[in-house]
Amino acid sequence: MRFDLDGAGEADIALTMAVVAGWTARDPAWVAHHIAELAAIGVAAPSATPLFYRVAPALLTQADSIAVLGDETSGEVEPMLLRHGGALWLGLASDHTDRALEAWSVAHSKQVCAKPVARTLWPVAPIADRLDALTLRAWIAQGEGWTLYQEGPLALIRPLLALEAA
Amino acid sequence: MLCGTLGAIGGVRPAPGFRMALDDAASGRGIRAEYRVTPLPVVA
Repeated sequence: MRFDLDGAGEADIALTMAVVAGWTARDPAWVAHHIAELAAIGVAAPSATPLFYRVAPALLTQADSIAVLGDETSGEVEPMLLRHGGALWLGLASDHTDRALEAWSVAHSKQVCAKPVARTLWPVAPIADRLDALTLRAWIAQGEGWTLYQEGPLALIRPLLALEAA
Repeated sequence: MLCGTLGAIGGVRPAPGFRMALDDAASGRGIRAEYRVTPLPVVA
């Protein structure tokens, strides 16, 4: 997959392993609330939190369109960490997921959808001390325009470097 | 590694398009991406 390395040119990076970390909210009360919310619609509680779901690296895509089965899938904006050339890089991706399948298996619901990935990667080192202050946002297409769908600082998610080290 | 997400404003729901951004206010820079979603029929 070809990435723009933020001033350091472009690189073709072979993705050999992909992990989607789930249940990563920093506030344990929020994680408990989310588990209860999903239990109410039949989704089994995770065996551990956070939980690291493996998915096929081939799911990651920079295409401007993805095809999915049915009309019960939706995106989730997520920061992405990638190891390349001995350094850690920060990017952006969507954990597009099949909501109907979640009740049967969260792991499978993730594996059945492509994961769109931004072309840009930033080196983590220069911004490591302010990662929590970065803002994550997503919008969904609704009618003629775009509706704000997700918004918040990375401080709402467990420290990224701790997740990566786990 | 995809590192987890934030709650959905107005609840989780499907949409034909998804736009995302990661912004660094300190540098005034951001990473952006956008994609369309094409649903396929589920036959059985």
